[in-house]
Amino acid sequence: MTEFVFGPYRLEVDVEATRAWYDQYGDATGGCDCAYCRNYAAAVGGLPPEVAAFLRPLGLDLHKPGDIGEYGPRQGGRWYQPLWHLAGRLLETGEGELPIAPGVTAGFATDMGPFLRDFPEPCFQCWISMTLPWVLEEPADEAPDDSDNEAKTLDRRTEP
Amino acid sequence: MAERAYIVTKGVVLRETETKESDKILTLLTAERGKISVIARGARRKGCRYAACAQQLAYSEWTLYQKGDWYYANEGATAELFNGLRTDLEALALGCYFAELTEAVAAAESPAGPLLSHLLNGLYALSALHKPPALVKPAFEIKLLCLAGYEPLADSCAYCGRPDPEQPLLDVVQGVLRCRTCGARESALSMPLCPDSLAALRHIVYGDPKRLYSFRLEGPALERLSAAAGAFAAAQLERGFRTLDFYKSLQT
Repeated sequence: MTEFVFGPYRLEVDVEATRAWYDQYGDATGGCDCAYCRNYAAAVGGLPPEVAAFLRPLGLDLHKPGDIGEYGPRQGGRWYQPLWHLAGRLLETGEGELPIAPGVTAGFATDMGPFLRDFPEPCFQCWISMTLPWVLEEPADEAPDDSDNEAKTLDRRTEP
Repeated sequence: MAERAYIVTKGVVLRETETKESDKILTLLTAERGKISVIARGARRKGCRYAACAQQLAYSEWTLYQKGDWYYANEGATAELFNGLRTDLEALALGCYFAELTEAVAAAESPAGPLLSHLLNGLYALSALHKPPALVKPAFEIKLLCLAGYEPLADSCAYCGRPDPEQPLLDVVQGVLRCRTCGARESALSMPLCPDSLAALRHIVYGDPKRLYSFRLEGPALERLSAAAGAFAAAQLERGFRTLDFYKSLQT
């Protein structure tokens, strides 16, 4: 276990176990191929390098989130909140989000996101909030209904 | 017909990749040309005269020729095989991590004398001096990042200027030292240190490179330094290292 400090948060992470899970199950769209997730995969590389630098020591990859949340138009782009599960424990928690790069904030929690198959216990979550441009050719508002994709994501998730 | 121009250079094999029936593609680190890719034809055959030189971590004098974008091996003579590594799995695993880390910071076709010296000294410390791997690892990682242009500011707290920060933390994204209570909202991901691990960090960053591995640190202080060094490398280079994961798997 490796101890990290991030603002008021203090965490203990099994970096190797976390990275091993994402090496086995992680993919570019968090297990979904809806337009919003594909846009995340296409646009996330344009974020400042500090974002990937924040995630790497924790064993996480910006391009392989555990889950992607998209919350509509914001600041000329789309508001995304991807999250990653981490093997380990949140020793001290804080409230709210802290900046990690211009326009990008992050925080940790113990009660977010889907339960991921075979993810080592105990675990907690890291989330990042950001605005990404829409870079796909298809318009965002005409993106197909992603209900079909729910089934595709189940192979990496289990019910709580 | 024009005569072939040969290049004589010394280098360490950072990586070997098997190709075709009996060939290898080697990634060599040389002082004059930095990182280069060399095709070693027949290097996997029993009778190959440079088979020993074509092993990972071998330091050899190579005679090469260039054709298009590739270098080809013509001859090789071993200078140092680091045999001490090849009989100790933990030291070998760490040596392979040193090679992968060095490859990540070395540029192609750009002089890399200091990086090569640092890698050779690190391998020698493990192989011949039998320095504890747990101590060599963080010293190698931090000094390599310094040589590659990622030197952390470790002389005082970046926010209040205290030379001895209170509950010191190394901010591994910004590469600065700080007190636990300073800049809590501005700083990024940080690693806890202690007075002993901080003193070792300063020895590594600011001390005489010839005495890089001449310090003592044990127990939790060494673990903190090692965790901070590994996280600092991952943050600055924005990647993880499979060879490091393997080395760590040997510790449990």
